[in-house]
Amino acid sequence: MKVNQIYVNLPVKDIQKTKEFWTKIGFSINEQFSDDKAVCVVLNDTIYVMFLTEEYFQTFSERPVPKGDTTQVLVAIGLNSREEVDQVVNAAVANGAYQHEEPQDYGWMYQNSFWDINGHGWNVTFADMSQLPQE
Amino acid sequence: MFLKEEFFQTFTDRPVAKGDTTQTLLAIGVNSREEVDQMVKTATENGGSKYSEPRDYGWMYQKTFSDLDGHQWEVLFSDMSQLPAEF
Repeated sequence: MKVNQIYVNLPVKDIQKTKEFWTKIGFSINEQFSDDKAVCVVLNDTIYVMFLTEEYFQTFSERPVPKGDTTQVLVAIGLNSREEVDQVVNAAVANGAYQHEEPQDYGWMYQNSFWDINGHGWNVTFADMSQLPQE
Repeated sequence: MFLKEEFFQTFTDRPVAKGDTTQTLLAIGVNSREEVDQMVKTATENGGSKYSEPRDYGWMYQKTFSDLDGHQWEVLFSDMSQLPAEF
């Protein structure tokens, strides 16, 4: 089985601020799927993030939205170079996110990370599969 | 990536959620209504559970399941040619 698209849905407090944050760090918005209670950030042609107001998000689940004191998910996204990784993380931090650990360099994979303005954790990676060690 | 809770914990400074809240809903698109039904049926037959009613918007059909670890999945088929101008 293969899927043809994925929408990662995450709750947020403020749609406008979220939209500004993700635009500033370099991603585009799908306006067709955005309104006053949701903003759709385009990661690529098949991968999207839907940020929903907590109230709207709540209508899709019978469990409460967490208060930001736990982690259920870390979303890892792959970019095309180390420079792009740092560029996105630096732009995120310049716009209110914070870096939660130092960049990790495994040789074949470089990873940097940030917690966004809504407290969601993002791992930003560049992987060069040709350098993947055998063991 | 599904990680053991202990390993997952090494990547975050906050504790792993206990399963009584929802931070994320992962929506995945498949190629037909039949594939939606099939995937959700297979998931529930193998220990997944239903947590919300199917939704049929005409242009989009959606069913959900909660997996063995309580992560919630929305399986959908959308026919963008049927997307209304306003929704």
